[in-house]
Amino acid sequence: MTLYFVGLGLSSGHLTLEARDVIDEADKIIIDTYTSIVHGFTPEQITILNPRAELVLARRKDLEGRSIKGIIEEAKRKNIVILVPGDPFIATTHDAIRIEALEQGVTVKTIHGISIYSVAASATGLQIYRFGKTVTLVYPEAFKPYSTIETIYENLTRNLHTLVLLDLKLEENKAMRIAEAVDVLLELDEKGILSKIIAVGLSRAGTAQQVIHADIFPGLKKYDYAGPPESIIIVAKPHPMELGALKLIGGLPDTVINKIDYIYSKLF
Amino acid sequence: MPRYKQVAEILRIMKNLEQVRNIGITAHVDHGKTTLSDSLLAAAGIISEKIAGQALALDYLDVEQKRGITVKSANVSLYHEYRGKPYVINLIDTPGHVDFSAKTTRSLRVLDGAILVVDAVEGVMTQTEMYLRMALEERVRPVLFINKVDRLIKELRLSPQEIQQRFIQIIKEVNQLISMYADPEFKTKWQLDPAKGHVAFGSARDRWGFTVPMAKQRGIKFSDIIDLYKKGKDALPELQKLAPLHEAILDMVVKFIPNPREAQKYRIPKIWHGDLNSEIGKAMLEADPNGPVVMLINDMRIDPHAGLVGTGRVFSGTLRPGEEVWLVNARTKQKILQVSLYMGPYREIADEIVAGNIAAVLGLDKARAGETVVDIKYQDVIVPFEKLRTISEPVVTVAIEPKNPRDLPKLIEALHKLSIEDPSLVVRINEETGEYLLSGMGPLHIEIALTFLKENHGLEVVASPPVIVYRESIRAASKIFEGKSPNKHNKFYISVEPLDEKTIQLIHDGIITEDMDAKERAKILREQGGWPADEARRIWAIDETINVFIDLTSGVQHLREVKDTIIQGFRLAMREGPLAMEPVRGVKVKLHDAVVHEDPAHRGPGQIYPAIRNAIYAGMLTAKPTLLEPIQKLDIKAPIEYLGNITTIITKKRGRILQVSQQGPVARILAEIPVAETFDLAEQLRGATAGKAIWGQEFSRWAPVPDSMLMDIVRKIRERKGLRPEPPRPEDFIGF
Repeated sequence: MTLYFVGLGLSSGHLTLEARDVIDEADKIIIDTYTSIVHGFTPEQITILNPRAELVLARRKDLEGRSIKGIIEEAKRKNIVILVPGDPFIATTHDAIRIEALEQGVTVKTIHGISIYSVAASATGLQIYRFGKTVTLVYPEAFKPYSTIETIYENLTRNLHTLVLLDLKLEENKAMRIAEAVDVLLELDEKGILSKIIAVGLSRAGTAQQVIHADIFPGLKKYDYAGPPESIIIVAKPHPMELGALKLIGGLPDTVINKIDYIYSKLF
Repeated sequence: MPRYKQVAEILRIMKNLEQVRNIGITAHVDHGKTTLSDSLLAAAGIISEKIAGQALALDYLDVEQKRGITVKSANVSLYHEYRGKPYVINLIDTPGHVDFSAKTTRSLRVLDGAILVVDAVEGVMTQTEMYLRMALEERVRPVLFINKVDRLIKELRLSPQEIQQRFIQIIKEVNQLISMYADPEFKTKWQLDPAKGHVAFGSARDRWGFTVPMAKQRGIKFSDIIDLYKKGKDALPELQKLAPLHEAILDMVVKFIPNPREAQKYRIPKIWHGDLNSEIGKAMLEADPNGPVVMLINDMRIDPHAGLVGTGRVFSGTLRPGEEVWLVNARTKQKILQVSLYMGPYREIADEIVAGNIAAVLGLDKARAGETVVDIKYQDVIVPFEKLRTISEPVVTVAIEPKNPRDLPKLIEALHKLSIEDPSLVVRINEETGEYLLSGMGPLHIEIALTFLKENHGLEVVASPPVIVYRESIRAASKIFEGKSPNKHNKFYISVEPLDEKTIQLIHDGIITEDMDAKERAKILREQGGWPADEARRIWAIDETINVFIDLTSGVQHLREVKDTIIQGFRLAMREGPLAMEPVRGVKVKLHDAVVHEDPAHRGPGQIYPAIRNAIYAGMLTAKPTLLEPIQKLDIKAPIEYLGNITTIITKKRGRILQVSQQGPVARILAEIPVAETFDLAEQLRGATAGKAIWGQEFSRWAPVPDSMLMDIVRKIRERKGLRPEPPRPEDFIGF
């Protein structure tokens, strides 16, 4: 039988027709409840689409480590659908299941969904060609996430934007907000670069509640946002088209736009 | 009545060491140590005029006395005039229960003399003998007080001749012990001669006593005392006037206990193992007030107002507030904030305390009992009085709770105090059950601690049966195992092997530590531990149960950022090993290579901890894993005819006789025995020797349990912890 990975997208309306067909034929549906939040989505929507299938609300331990073997064994006999926020393999969380299944000769099919990875660019008008490596800003609990600031520096030296995803610890009821992230990043920013340059705050991107603000990075704290999931884009020196979008979509203040050459003239 | 003195006056006396004595009182249980201390304090305690001026001081003293002040103060100072000359006599608290522990030894180190109290009815008992022996080994000179003579008169109605016979018998026994245990040069010199006044007779409760010279001088006849007792209670004041107890005792102390300078001349070579010809050595031999500061802290207590108070003896130099000193065992410098002397049981601030005296210090809150404090300039050359084990190894644990749940805050506070006063007791909270766990060196150690809680804090506690703490270890090197994180994106290639004995010793002694200079550490490990240079340089962590983590990787991306997480994963794995979830000891963990996820969100603790743990566990389970059990050293002394019985008991309990020697009619047996076998040892030894064996015990080492018993013990521990009885297999940790 088949193991399907189905992307839920970012909002309850993002489920594709293809996805609905797959769900309809499933014997068992496993919903990943811990990697991100799908706006407006409830398990009942799935029950309505397929009342016959066994429904599992999976926590991290159900989709990692020892649990992987069990899922694959079951997929040999049944059609199993794993519902994942966004586009299934963008965040790498479920790579191990796919690899293991393929190794065991189980048929794997992926139904793609809308990802923050593309929405970040298309919603803000920043060009996908100008993004560098993406990075997650984690809660600085177990360790100081120096690599996050290093990634931002590396991208900036190559004049590339950085999409910074903010930590979600849904199993601990925690989701990092933009204001919190600004403080953490400013503390990590030993070179003092972030305090001068432009950034975009992105909240519930791709949903009806989407909020986008563009300003000097520390200034992102002063706006109201829609709630998690949230992300920040650290903007490298914008192309004139990008600058127009930042002004008209993100409300980038004219006072900033007027100084744009000066701001990016001596970053490092 | 207490004397009222100016602090300055006492300080003046303290500077003239001929007018200072440092003593302790010791007795078998119920022979009258507390009663004697309290009588002396009541009659000769000094109170500063400042305290006396506070209206309630006397009442307060009275209340304190009723509660038994000797157990509450680290030191009580007395004032005594002998032949018109004033003396300060420091009465230093000694443990109620004497054993061969460091606690007993260190309390003796600060004394020069001891008053041995013996109940006239019961005579010399085991604790009398034990203490006398320990005192003599530390070159502490004994004098004798035969107490409870009133019982001979009133209860036993002995005639003066019979009473005299009994005295002679007790003195003879004590003298035999002195010739048996004293160093050769003191065997004869320290024999007690009642005619010279080395022995006092009396009743601490009724507060009278005399020595033979005192009786002669005052014309006291023993028949007079018997007659006075016939008159009943009303005659007591007359008796106390005729033969005041404190005079008898304190005259004896002043006359026969050496002053600190005299004592340090022959005691320092015995109690301190440094070079006597060094500057420090010479200064201590002379109790030189101008020498470098050397102080031995024998007591740390929490004062509700002042915080941590250290009490100890200044062996050299002059202690002053504001000075920086080096704490040898804590390996740190601290500033002395305040120096005080004792006036009666109270501390009074002083400008300085000179060598030879007992001082209290504030500011040394890193010190624990047994600490050697030294002038900061001598931190590199000082040899401490006592090498503290930087890693305490409590081996027996009980869970305790107060009988009355409302006493819990009181219990927590008492436990905290207890663990500071006795650093070898460890208090922990079981995070899963919320129980308070008290760990000590053996069943007896725990028993004493519980008695202390009851007697000093009035706390009734319920304790679980004692549980032995084991260690998990390995006896072979493993191959390299791959530990995967649950998301499989992070991989660690790890092998384990046993740490060699020499390295374990270096870590145990605190010579090798986690936070020391890495180059210095690598040098010691190479030169003394025979480590290869690359491993010695690349230590990431050394945990408290003596395991080492080494990073042998090169060029692994993002490893630096997950370093702390990896170390924490290692520590967690070492806290609970794979066999029975007991702490791990003596394992070297080597990280050979690693793959780390590109994004921080996928390499958090939830991913790293299990990856590290699984590789270590798999490695350990394939490397001849075993349990180490605590082994205790026993030092038993008993009449030679019981040697056979004792040997049988030791052997039956998986013990080993290390050495047997004979001292006159007494056999001394050194033996080793697993702590697990000691729960009824006291009972059995007493039973087999008609109660005549005395012994001390201390932690000796960790040793593998016999292979034939291993799985059985593992199963029992696992069942106790609610785990399935069979330990996991290596496959349970890898390849999924």
